[in-house]
Amino acid sequence: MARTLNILLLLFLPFLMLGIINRVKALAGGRKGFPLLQPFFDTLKLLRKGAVVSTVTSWVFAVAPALALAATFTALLIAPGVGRTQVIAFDGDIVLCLYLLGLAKFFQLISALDTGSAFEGMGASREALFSVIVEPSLFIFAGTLALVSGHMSFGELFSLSGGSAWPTVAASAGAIMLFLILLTEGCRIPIDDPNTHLELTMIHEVMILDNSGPDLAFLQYAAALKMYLFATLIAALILPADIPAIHAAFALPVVALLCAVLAGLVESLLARFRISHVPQFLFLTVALSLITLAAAIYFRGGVA
Amino acid sequence: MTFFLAGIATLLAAAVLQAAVPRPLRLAFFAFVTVAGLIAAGTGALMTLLNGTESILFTLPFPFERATLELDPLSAFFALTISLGGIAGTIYGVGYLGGYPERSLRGHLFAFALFLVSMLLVVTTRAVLSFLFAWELMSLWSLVLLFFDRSNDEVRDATINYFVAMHVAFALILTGFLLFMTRSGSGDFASFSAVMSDPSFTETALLILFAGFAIKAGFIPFHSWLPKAHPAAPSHVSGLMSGIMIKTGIYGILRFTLIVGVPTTRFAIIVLVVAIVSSVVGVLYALAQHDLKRLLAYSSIENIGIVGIGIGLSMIGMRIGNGPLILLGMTGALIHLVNHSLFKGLLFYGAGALYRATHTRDIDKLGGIIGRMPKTALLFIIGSVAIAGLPPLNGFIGEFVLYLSMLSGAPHASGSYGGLVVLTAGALALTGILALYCFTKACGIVFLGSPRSNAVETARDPGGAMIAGMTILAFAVFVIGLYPAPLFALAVTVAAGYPYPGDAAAAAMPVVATLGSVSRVLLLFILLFAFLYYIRNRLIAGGGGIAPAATWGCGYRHGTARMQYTASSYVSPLMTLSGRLLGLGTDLERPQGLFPARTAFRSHPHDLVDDYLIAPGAKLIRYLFSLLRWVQSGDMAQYILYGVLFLAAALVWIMGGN
Repeated sequence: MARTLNILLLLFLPFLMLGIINRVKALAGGRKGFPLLQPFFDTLKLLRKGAVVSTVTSWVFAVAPALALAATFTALLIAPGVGRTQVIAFDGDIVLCLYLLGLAKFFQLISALDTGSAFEGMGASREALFSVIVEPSLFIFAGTLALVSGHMSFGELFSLSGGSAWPTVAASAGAIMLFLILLTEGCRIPIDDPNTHLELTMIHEVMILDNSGPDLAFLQYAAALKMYLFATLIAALILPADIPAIHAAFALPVVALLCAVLAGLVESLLARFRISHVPQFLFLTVALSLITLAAAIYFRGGVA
Repeated sequence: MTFFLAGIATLLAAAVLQAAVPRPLRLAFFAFVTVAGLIAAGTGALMTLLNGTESILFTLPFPFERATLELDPLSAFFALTISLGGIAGTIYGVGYLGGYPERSLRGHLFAFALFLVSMLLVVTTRAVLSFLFAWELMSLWSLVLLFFDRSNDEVRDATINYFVAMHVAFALILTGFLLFMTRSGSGDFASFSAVMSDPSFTETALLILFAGFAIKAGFIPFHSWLPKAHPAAPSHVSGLMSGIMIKTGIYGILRFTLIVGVPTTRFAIIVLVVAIVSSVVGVLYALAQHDLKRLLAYSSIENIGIVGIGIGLSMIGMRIGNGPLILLGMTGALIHLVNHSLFKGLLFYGAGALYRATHTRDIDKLGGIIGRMPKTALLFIIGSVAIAGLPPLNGFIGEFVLYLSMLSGAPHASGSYGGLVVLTAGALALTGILALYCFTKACGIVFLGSPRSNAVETARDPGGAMIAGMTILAFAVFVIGLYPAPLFALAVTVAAGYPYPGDAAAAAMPVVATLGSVSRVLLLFILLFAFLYYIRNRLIAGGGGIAPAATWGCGYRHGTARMQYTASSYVSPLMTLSGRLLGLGTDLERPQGLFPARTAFRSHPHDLVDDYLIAPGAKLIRYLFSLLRWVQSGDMAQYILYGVLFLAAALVWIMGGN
């Protein structure tokens, strides 16, 4: 039951998050904004179109969108959903989940290079750099949760327990870190600006500059799914372990949508950083993961 | 064991008999006999892994006394790796050598077969003298193979460099052995375990041995020879050196860990730290390279680092009695070692095919190869995904087992050890994502986009044998990625030989189930991908089909291929960030005057170990020797004086003795 619900949520919530971010930005800017499910309808519209494909490209460009979407969707099946249930769970599943995202990234990067466009090369280069900083923080954080809990599967890892201040520390540091990663991987301000009109300032949008039709739809959906993934992780981390199933079914969407509202507020209040300053900002995620690790060692009874 | 010995005999026969075969048939004959020999040796090794240790005792003439050849699980595992990598390497190599019809190749093929034999002997001998003998043969025959393109200065320098490095390694290993022998009184490896009663002595001897083996394996800061030798060697040799030969360094470390038992804490931590530095710095250096084969060479250092991380974790596990770290750390290291031999061979062979077709290794001169060499491109991309450690290929499996060892080992590690293990997981993640960055560069800039120079115009896929050699490896990369259980079982057989608290085989059972789950998820992913790709094609066909167009240039219609992102620009943000650690040198010719005619920018990667350790060290040695230069003045009278002095001294000594 929870698993079916998880899969159903995957089909709508990511689009709704995008809609909410847009609505919050619109309201903050004194505009009305488009309908909440507009991103969903846009995607459906794209699916009905043909494609314009550059003659420079090869099969890599053709398979990358389907491959990226398949990998991201499979990763989401592993991620904790409603009430931390996973559609698929086993020991160390978190590693497979993150590496599947890596596979999606690999093909998106080489697909951008496949077009031979300087702009897309630039976008790929920046995207790769930001992942380099974010990835170790995620693994240090996951390792820290394993260190304390002794669990190895996503859902169990993220359900914090313990009498001391540990759950509070881990949940707050972890939630902030995951939110920063959500902004990064979701291509939001202050790291990336999805609405910019200048190719030079884009990151994710410039990588998919040459994709069109169903390919573009796949990539947009994959990007939305990835943002939703980090929202589900935040939900798994901060929601209490023992809420009734029926409440859990609502709690996850509420947290995801709150993340979207927060992301919208951040976008409304901040400007995008200079590209050269983004890495410094992202090192904050490494710092937060190290703080969690230090706290974990402290709460386990000090350094032996 | 019979199969194994028959395999070695066949390889020796191949080495000798090929010289008598007429040149047109020589390569085919050699390939056939060598592959047969390797299959036999591999079968023998596999049977040992399944059935248990076998040994055979030879009595050899002075000075060897007795030489034992033994196939225990550890030896058999390495012998199997050597045989597998050797088969693909031989098939590819014969194809590659087909491009040199004017050369007789007798000597090269002779060295090739003996190189394979010496590696098989290195991993099976059990006494100091025979081990050193095989070890030295391995170094020398690989030296002959490396020195293939004799007219090239770069090759000559690399050969000399390799020669010196291997002999420094030899000296260190010899010193370590002699230290052990002073206490054990015997050259049998088995007797070395008696030395354990004195931990600090054992630690010193082990550290010296480790330094020697680390030079062979290419751990940083012992790696200086590696990025010079691999690009200089012909590609079938680079593939074998990087895929297999450097693993004998790992074998040495594992063999002596097995003999001596639980290492000291300090030793374990040194191994782990050296391994982490090798993996992270190795991949950073790989990212900075413009030369495709140098990039692959540095990436070998990274992968040796990953193997070392597993070994280091396992050693720490032995020290603190942590089961998951011991078993899964070692298993992960062994699995990654086999995997690396497969995908690194594949990548080097791909680079060789590229070099054959374009006569350049400079990444920035390539681009758009995929249209001209579709098979090589596909194989190289498969290798790249595998080496980046991504599912569903084999590179993921080794790293996954290593993560499992850390995630399940950390909770049982007390205090700061737990923190160390978690940080190691972070380092492995950093290595993984940097490798992803590095190999999107390698395959993206080289194979995709538009050609950056006319070197690319004549590029064509190589002939059947080279493609066949690569296809074998690519196939293995897929099979292990999707069905890792058999390889895992073999690695557990080896890992179970190390001190483990409890029943190792039983502890491995849940991991087999986990790997089964991984396989199922990966199959699900592949089906989902196939489905989505089918849907995509149907949707596009239904929506008006594909309209060909130029790449979007923001409205600018006259972009040239030289305006594409280059290898250097692709990694430039990271290079800026890592600053002096990489020591990236730059020359900038600024535009001059009101109407600047030219401007130029060049960047060239440095290696800090070369700049601050090897170069000053070499300078110091040169200086010390220059102090003795007066001895050899070229003046005959002076030499006669030496003779007279020597005779006088001898006379005094003899008279004094009486």
